Amino acid sequence: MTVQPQAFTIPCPFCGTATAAARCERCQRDPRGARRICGPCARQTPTTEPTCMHCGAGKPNDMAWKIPVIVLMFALAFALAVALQR
Amino acid sequence: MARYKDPIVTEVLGKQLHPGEQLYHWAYGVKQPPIGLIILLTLLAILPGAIATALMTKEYIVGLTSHRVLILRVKGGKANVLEITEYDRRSLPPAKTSTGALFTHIALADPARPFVAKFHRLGMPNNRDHAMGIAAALPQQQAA
Repeated sequence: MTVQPQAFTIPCPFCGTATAAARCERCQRDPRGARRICGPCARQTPTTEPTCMHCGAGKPNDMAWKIPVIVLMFALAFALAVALQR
Repeated sequence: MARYKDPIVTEVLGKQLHPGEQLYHWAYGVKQPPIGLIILLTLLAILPGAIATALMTKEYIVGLTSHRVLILRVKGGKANVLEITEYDRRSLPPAKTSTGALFTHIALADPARPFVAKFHRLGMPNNRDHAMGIAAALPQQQAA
């Protein structure tokens, strides 16, 4: 199927203003830019910004809890291996 | 084996569509950590290595619409959206795609927003067909 997309007006995902421009006329952000869903307020905010533009919550770090868990798992595995060899 | 069923994926993608925009293809893909790291972790300890690999794997739902290529990073059984990236179909970055026995690989060489994922044929119902449909719509990168 061949589709020829046309330019069209979209609601800015950040402020809701209808825009067809590369930058939203109201919030001056790229309405087609990468964005994340803020955990506390569940609204969309640009990925490039360190805090949520709506509620100010900080950007979460996915690996913040995963790295300690991974290190702990390996430590437990090695401790278990040493204990079983004695 | 399927991670998500069609109704969940089409609902999640449907929330991101603009008025008048049509969804043509959707697929579930993953991006695993580098293979060297997977091997290293597995050699250290098999079970913790496998769990660590799973924890570091990112899950994506990719949709091809009449206007955009939508990439949603998701987690959980109900495909909660974490991040949204979109590429306008009028200005898609060069892509490198391939299809093997199990996986369809898609890599978008966008300098600002690169994307790489692989799509298992059993990741979703008709995942292979959808992933190939998305790959077919992407401009292929010219060999150097």
